[in-house]
Amino acid sequence: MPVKWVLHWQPNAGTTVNTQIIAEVCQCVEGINAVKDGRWKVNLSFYRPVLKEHANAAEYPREFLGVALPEQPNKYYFVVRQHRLVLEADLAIQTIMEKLQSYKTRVAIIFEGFQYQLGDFRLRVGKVVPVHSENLRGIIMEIEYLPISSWEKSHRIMGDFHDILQEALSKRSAPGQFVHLEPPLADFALSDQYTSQHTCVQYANVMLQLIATVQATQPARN
Amino acid sequence: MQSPGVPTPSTPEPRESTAEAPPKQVAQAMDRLAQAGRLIADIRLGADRLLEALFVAAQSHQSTKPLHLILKEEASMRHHLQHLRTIGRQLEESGVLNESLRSRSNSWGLHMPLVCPDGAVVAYAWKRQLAGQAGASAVDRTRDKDDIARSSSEWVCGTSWSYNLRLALKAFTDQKRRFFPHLDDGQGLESVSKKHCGIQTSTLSQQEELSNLRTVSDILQYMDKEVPNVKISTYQRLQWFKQASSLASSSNETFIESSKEQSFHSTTKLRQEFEGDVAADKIAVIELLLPSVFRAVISLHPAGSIDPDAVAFFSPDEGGSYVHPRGFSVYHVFRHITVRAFATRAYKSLNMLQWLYSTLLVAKLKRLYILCWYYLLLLILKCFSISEIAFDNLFMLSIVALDLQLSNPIRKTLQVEFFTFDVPSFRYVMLHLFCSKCRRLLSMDKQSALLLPPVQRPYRDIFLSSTQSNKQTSLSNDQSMDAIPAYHVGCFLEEA
Repeated sequence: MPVKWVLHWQPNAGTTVNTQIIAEVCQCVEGINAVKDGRWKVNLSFYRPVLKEHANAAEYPREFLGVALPEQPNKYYFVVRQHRLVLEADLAIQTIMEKLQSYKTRVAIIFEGFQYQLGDFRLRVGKVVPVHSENLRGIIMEIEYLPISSWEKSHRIMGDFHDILQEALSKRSAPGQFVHLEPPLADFALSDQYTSQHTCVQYANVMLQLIATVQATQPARN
Repeated sequence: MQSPGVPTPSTPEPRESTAEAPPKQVAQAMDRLAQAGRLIADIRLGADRLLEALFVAAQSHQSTKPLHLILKEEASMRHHLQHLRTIGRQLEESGVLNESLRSRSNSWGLHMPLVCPDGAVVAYAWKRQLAGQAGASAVDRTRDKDDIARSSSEWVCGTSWSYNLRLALKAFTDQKRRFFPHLDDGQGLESVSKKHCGIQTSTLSQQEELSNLRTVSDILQYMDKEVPNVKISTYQRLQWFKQASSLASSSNETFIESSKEQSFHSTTKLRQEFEGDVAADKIAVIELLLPSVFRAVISLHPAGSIDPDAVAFFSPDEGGSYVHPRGFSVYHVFRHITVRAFATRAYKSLNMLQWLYSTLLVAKLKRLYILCWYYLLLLILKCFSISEIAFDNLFMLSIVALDLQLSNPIRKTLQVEFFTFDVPSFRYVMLHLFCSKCRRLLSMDKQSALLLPPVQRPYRDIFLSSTQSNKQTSLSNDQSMDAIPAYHVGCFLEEA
């Protein structure tokens, strides 16, 4: 599987994300000769256990993420950060959970946007919105390098591409930058060979950041 | 239609359309393409004249007429190439050669003619427009046709490389028979000994060692020793095709199940299945797998000899029937490397030539041929400071011609060099080595609008000094990474 980096937008101090920035990023990406390919969408949900008897509360994870990725249409992934687990399940697990009333969706988030192709690289630029709402929470970018599937070996190439993007963006004086956080792959016992589980861990990481950013700006707004 | 390779220099990114009316733009582009074709034909003629002048020079030692001829030809070639360079720049600015401009073209609904890397010109759209069939439906129809044309021209480009080279080989074989009939058997240089005067001792032992390798198993053992990270497997020709299809199925397995141990076992199982059967004289395909980096497939012809016929690079994840020595990878970076690999083979010939040059004691007639060839190549190299494709094309053609001239023992040595060529340094080039000029790994290749890693070009040293011996690529030292100069196409051209 090709290696992928998930980056999120970090606005400069004092600015917030808005749709204008997404349009600028898209223009910038097209400026480096990327060709628009189509659309993409990732669904992410936070699950909470529905506890019938409160005595068992400690047995269940307090909260975990469920991720549906476009490249694996038949699978559904779970990231349990508390226990450092990434699970792969069939897409039907969602209906099963609903029927059993065992876990409930607390928050559901959608990442969606456009996909670009630039030679051996595949880029995805998208917005982060809660489902049933148009409130923009963040901007996300995925960089995928198709020929290589080793996380270690592709590190420098990805870093270089990231730098090129940064340069292009700063030329347009964008009010922020895309940040890549090193996902804790070793914690989740993931190997060097890239898989969809790696993507899920990256998304979980990004969600943490986004939540932290939103919480940080909220008191200022209120 | 056109001769191979319309070269283009690095230019600033093409800006939006000019104020000219579209049909004029298109007509101008076609005109310039025709000019470029004529110039390329002129350059070929010039190369022929150079050959002829050398032949005359070899025959008669007294007169200086051939020298004048050579100088005159050099000047005219240089002029032609400069002209070609300006045309290339103009073409690129008008967006003809850059595919990405087409995809967001706003030239009033017209599509510019597309020039494929092999020189074929796709010009469906503009013809229909100029015929006056304006209208949305017409544009849509031509867009579909363009897609078909583009995909078919890409297929043509893929297969045309080897075809072009074979054509070139045939052309030069004919030339050789015309100009140098008595060199057919290559009885020329029996007395070239292994005296290595004037070469640094570090390269000396390596070259000696290399010339001692005479059979495929020797070479494979040598490679095992030098680059232990690379997994080498050998196959007979049909075995390889079975293997290639099984690669496809194994790459589709889910990675959760295949742990490192499992995959190791499965590949060794495959190897044992095949390797035990392949006797050294039946080896036709060699596979070099550098895990997670690349898979190189080399074809030997005839089987069991050490004459490499073709080489191709692929991603280690790729599988399927297109993974064979004359195939092309789906990924641009590996396609790029495949083309370079062939050029490197040519370079190694030049290496050996330098060595030969420094060992020649007395300028006997046959050896004078070698000297003349050497100077011819230097000339050609100096003329070509323009672009990759033009350089590689003519360089390859001249080296191929050279290859035919030399006697068999020398040729064997040349091809042994090819095997040890650059396996570890390609690893470095691809993933660790930074461009010596801009200190980065990726750079936008203006010609193809792709981001590509830098390429190692050891033959650049020949520009700098012909007396200093080549910087041999040291095969396995980490600390020598900086000593291996590598440049992006754009950075290299600016330096030259």
